[in-house]
Amino acid sequence: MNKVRLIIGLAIVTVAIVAASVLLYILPLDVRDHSPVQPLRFSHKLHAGDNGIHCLFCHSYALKSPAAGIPSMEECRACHLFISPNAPEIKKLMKYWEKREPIPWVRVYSLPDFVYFPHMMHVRAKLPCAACHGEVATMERITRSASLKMGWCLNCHQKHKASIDCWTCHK
Amino acid sequence: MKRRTFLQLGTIIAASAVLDGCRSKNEQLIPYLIPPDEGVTPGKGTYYASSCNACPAGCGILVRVSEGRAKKIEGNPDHPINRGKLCARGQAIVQELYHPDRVPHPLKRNGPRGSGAFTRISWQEGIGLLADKLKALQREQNTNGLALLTPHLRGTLAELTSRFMRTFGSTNHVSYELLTPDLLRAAARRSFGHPSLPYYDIAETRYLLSFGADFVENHLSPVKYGSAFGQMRQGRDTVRGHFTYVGGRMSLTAASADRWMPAKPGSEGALALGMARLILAESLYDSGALAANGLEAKKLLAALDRYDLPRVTQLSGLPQGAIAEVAREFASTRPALALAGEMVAFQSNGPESVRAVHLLNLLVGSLNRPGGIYPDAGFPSGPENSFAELLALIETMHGGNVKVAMIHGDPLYSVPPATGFHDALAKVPFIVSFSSLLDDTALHADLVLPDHAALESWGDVIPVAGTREPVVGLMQPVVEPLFDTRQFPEVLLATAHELGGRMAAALPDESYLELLKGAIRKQAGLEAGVDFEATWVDLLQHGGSFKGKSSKLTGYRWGSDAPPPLPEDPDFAGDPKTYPFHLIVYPSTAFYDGRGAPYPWLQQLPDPMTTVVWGSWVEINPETAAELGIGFGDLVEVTSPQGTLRLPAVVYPGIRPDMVAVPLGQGHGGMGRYAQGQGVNPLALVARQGTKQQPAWNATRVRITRISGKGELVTAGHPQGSLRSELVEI
Amino acid sequence: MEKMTSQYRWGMVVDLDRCTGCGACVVACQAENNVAICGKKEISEGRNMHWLRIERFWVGKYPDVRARFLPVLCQHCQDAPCEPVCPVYASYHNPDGLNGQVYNRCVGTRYCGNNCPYAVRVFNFYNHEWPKPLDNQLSPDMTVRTRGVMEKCTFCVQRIRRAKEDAKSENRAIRDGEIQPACAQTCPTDALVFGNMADPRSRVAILSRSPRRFRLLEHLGTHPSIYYLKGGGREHV
Repeated sequence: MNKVRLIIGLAIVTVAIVAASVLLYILPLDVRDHSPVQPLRFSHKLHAGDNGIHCLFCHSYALKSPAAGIPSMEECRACHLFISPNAPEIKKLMKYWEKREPIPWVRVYSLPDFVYFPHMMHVRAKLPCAACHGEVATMERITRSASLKMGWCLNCHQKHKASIDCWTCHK
Repeated sequence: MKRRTFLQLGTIIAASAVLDGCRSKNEQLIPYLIPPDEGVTPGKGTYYASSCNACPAGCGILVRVSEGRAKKIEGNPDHPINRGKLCARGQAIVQELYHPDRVPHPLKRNGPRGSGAFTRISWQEGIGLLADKLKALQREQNTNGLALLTPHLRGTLAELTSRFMRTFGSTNHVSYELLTPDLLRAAARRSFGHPSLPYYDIAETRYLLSFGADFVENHLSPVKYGSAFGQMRQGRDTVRGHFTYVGGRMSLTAASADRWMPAKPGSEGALALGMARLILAESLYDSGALAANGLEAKKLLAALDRYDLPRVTQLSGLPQGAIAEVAREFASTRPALALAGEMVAFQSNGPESVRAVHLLNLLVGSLNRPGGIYPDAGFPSGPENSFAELLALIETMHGGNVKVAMIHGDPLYSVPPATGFHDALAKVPFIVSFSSLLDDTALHADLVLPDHAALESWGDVIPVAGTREPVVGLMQPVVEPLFDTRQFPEVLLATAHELGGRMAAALPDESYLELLKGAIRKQAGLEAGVDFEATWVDLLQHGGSFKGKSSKLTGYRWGSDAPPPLPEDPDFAGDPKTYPFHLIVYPSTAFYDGRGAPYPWLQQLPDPMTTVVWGSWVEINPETAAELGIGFGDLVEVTSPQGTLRLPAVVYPGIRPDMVAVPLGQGHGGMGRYAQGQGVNPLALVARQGTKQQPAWNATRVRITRISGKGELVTAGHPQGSLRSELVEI
Repeated sequence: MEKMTSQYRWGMVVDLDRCTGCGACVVACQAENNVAICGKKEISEGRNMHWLRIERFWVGKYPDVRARFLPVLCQHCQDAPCEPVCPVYASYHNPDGLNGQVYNRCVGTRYCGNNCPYAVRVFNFYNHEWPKPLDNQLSPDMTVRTRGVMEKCTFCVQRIRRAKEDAKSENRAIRDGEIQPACAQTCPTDALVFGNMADPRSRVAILSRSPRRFRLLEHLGTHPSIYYLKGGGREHV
């Protein structure tokens, strides 16, 4: 009798551990905010959507550097000296500028330290920015749409016959 | 609460705690205020050309800078000295910039000297303090009460310091380095009439004979000559240059030799003359070269009569056959090249021994020939007497006549205590140090005005040797200064302005950069109307000016009044009965004269010959060690007439049984967390030997006793190598 | 031998007749690859983190003694003993013939290190630190390995990657000599030469056919990608 109990108990424990592991694996453990509130209500919809500014106009390093970069404050200011200088958000921007303080944007897309992601190679391969960043042109506030998990990367690499050697992306 | 509920609750709390831990916050993205300069792409490294000042060789470097931080130092391919190559020390100077123990701001002493108790002060206060002391000297009409002690400076900085001291009215300006090639210059002056260092054409030679010149690790220009050595060995299709090394200790350079001749210390000159005599006697010499130098074989042979083979055999302790064989090979393989280095020069008979090697080069016609030696154009008019100048300064300080000592560098570490420097400096009431780390000297200073790191500095770096065309390398700041430090020359300028009057008039430049640009402009000799800014930017981009006008130096010619070299018998401090072993103090591969010690990469770099890391050691021949009952790693006591040190022993097969050797560079009382307390400073053992002009650092005898088995020696590799040599076929 | 799926097979030649044992390569490697700074205690435990070491052998007895140097780094074996023993495939073979090590995959069994006959894999027994501001020198091209991870020489794969990107954007193959790992780049005597072994005209391939060539512990059948060239010269005093 005792033996049966023990076996059942062990089985339950095993199942529980397996279930917990499976759960851990499929649960969205990436609990980072997908759409964080930014210090300034910057609208990509307005810039990239309504006004049709190309992504590379502001994120100009994406073409030649692993990092896409975000525009410097001076670049923001240069346009907004003339374009709607009296909007409340623009005034906030100018306040930052006057204090010589950079805007503490909240990062939405980030990869772990051991991943090497060259923007320029993806831009050169004619991959649209939206493939990873979603329809930014329709977003008031940037929302991350991709999981950025390795499987997601690999699917695309395989589809486009890009290298799937570990050392292509892992550093 | 039931046990079960407690467990359930506990689990839930634990799980939520774990989940909370996962909830890492989104990082921030901080934009630039102002976009970076044209040509700089964030996310990609940018290379800036500069120059290395870790040793006098003055190699050109490229610094990879990424997001405003210096990441990696590489050799500058355009620089004629190092051609894109770099040694371990040069690569480690990025750790000077980012050293965690850098002095971040000026300091004023507020405890006893050497205690390390300092208070932070502002630059204004610091320069004010110094200027007040100097003004007091001016008031008392005692301007000679100021002393300035620096390493050997060249170029604009040398000009500035001497102008500062001259205008102030002080003659106590000494630039001194322990490993200075003064004696090589003095020997060249006696033999050839001008004091330029030799340039060795190692790459093109077929027989290289080095008398204690360790050109792979520290002699004159190690990267240049290391590279030439590779070329000599395998750079030519059909010829492999042969290399023989003479010296009682197998140095790193000697380890690459085909033949090692462990001559008794101090006998190298006699050995060279023995070879010269044999070459003369057997008519193997180049008669044309002899005639061109105004020498007659017969007369020379008579002058060298004393150096017959049996006597030289006895003096050097080498087999007679080997000496004769090397002499014949040297004379019959053309071109052949003989080098004389510091290990020979720092003997009591050093300069004459060096001249004996000059004579060997002359005999085989290797003066001013490819594969031979030329006068070096690097810095032809360097000091020849800096040791005598240092002794004079020590005397002045001893007499209490120096009231303010400004010190760049770390002489309390690198000047042997036997000179009396330490006691003399203690008598100086006000010491100013410009060190960027609290080294031994800075710890004893009353005021520390920290210098920039090399990678934050402007400057011109003139290589001490290793080139036949004049080379001026430029140093430029590759990153913003990390701390509230100021470059040494800037401090001099600011002090001069503070003093006003004559000083301000003589040093009018607002900044050192302005002064430097002026000097470079003058050198470039631009015609009126040429845009200097463009030239300047071009020079900075390339790392300096490498297309100097060809050297005005005439070739070497034996002076008409130069006597044949006749080295005396070597003289050693210490009675051979009490002190049976010769002590050799040699610059370590990683630390040079101690400058490399604060950098952890160099501390961690295994010494090539012993694989020892983080410490110092004494090398003992296996037979000697067995006789004294000393094992590998035992703690031993080394006693000389000058002092006593305890350090671990390394049983070293490549050293004469009557010799022991200790590397230089460790044993700092300060210099930050990585250097402090590592190993010992062997200069404490070195006795004053030689004359005022000729320090003989390698002419001390010692005795050795075993203390215990606990030497705390750490080696990176197995003492015999972790792979067995017969297994790997070498 | 591995299937050729790439036009590159990276290899190196180490000319022992040129090598003077100076150690410039060791520091260059440490600087390039964020290799940890190890203190006295760690090294005394045999836990030094250098990816490239210089072995020194004493041959003979005084005065007929010689010291010989042998730079040892990952041999990037074509039949690598480290690869099949990794239970999580962190150690793998790359199409260019390199032995890869994927740090985020490594769980620290140390099987690979134990199976490596050249002892070139080093294990992070500790979390290493770069006290501020020393951390500024860390290269962004390499991750900083944490405790419990095995690491080793990658032939400076970040430089290979960069060269491949450059070549791709210019639509050409990588030129001979375009890639230099940090060790080869700095070597004063030019003892280390790196290049594409698959190209018979590359400098490294030409040198690897020298009659002086040998490979380390070749009898083990590991087929290393590094060829050594024996030092020449006579053997007597």
